[in-house]
Amino acid sequence: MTIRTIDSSKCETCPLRLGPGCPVIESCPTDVLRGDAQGRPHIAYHEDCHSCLLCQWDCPYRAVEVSHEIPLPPFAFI
Amino acid sequence: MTQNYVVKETDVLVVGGGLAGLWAAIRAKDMAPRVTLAEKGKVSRSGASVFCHSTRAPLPENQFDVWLKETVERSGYLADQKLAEIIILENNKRIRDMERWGVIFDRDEKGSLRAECVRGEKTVRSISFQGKQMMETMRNVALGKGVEFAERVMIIDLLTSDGQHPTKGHIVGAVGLHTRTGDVIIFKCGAVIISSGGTSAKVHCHYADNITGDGLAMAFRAGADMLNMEFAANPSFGNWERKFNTGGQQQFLMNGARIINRHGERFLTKYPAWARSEEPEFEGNVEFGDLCRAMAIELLEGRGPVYFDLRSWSQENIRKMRRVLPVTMAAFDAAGIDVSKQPIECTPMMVNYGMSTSAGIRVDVNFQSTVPGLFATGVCAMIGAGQKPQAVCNVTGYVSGEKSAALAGSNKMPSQEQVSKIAQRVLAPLQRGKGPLADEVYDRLNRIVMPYEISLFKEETRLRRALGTLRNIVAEQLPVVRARNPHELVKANEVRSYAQMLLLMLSGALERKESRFGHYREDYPYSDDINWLKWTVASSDENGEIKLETEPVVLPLYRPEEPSRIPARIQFTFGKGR
Repeated sequence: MTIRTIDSSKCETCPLRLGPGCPVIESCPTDVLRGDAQGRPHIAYHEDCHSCLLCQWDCPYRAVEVSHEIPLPPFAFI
Repeated sequence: MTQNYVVKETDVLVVGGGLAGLWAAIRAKDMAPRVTLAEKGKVSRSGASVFCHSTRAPLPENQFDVWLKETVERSGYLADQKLAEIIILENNKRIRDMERWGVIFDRDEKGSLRAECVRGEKTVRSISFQGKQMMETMRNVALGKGVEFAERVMIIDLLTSDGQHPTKGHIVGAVGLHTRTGDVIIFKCGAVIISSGGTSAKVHCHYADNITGDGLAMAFRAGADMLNMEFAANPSFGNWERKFNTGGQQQFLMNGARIINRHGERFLTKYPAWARSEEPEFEGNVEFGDLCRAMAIELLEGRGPVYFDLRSWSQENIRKMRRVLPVTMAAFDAAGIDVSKQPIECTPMMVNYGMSTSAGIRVDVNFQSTVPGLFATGVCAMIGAGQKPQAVCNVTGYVSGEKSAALAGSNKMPSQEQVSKIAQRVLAPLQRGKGPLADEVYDRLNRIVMPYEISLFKEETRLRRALGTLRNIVAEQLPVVRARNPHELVKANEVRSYAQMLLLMLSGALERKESRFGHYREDYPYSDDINWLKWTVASSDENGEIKLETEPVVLPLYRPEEPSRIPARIQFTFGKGR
């Protein structure tokens, strides 16, 4: 569901991580991601992902995989 | 007290880094030395416009009257006609500015802007762009002009010259919260422009979980009049296969998608009013409220699920969808759905998210609210339905940016007492060891307002009951919400805005005794142009409670020829059919 994986092996050679900072962490509107000591992104608040795919688009190395599937509230339907 | 907090001084503070906020900041910076754009996320990756692809085309010569008339008609005559006029007239210049700055609009082989009718448009036209490209371009323009960005800063409440909410004075600043450090930041300024969009229920729909109604709620608390809040929430049906939620419904409909029930029936044609319409075989012009109600009725009466059916489509049409709806089509692919071979289940749902311009803060021709120094732009301002939100962002942002700059240099010291009171309330959830988390309160609120009998089919007794439950939650649970870190603290403050918005939406819905757009009252199942060409006006009393009044709409240019009661096309009494 929602943001699935970040393949951090792809972050090793990323010049952005060591320079201006990981664009994936900054792109998230709901602030789901955080950086570790090396500036690599990890999923800190998974429950707040709304599956908008901005993080996936913003990673030039395709390290992020997002699923479209999201948990919708059952009480809102019949 | 302020010495405990970071204090930032600026001339104009813009709240929200979507398209309207960027326009406001860019224009304000042309006129005022210091402009700060505060954004809860990242400017250009926040707001709704980054996910949008359509705006109003430039007005062709000699079309002004025709466009304005159509726009006012589509607002159900509830538009502020003066504001509608400004939006139509000024948008040309803004589109030109954007192109000059590098925003790419779709053009045909001859190089002309590709202007097309979409979603029920008859004479007015829309043009396409790529939301992300547009927002990045606008971000760069703002930075190039020297707008100061305060990113990951949530603005929570406004500071007023008399230290009061609601104020009898004017705006002197705002209280913000850094979303990662949890630091309180005090902004001192001459004007605040609210550009933070609508309200979402935070249920992972429409990519809007970050758009939480904070700007609208803070404006209400500070004393701004709010108009037609019953129209602030809209029903949607972008829930495919009950698994994911993407845009594109309208594209499918405009290209001839059929909507069918479990038995394969095109159920809209069952409704006499619909069957008599100009194009009964075409679902592209059905108003979303009607469509969602008709779908819900099929589900309630046991003929669900309801499907979008593209099986009769040509491969060329499907290729077109792949081009214009890449995200939605990729989602279908990932779920193993072949749209040319199987119908796609589609579920209506009230998302309590209004991207519409039919509700919001009352503004004058400068887009200034009833509180001096407080401006509202984009979908935060009530302009009237029938508008393209992105065009509204362009013009309201630009004009409010320009007008607010006149207040530069009028900074007044915020009252220490007000700063301290607000800051303590903002931070209080961190000090609580017990109490519900914001997510739990969101869930409780949504369980009250989202079920169909409150959201899609409204009725007085049920609305009163829902409002009562809502008020209990506001009184008992909001004051004890806890947070364990700054991230949860943001949500604890957001849920307060959401509860305020729900109170406004439901109070307005109870007051408006007619049906129009997404607001359907089964006890008043008609649009009542005789008695209800009125705005509902909500304002805050000294205790923060909602005062509601109604006011006839001023109709200077266009009015219905023979005002009458027009029965709702899709009528239903909840519970009767089950």
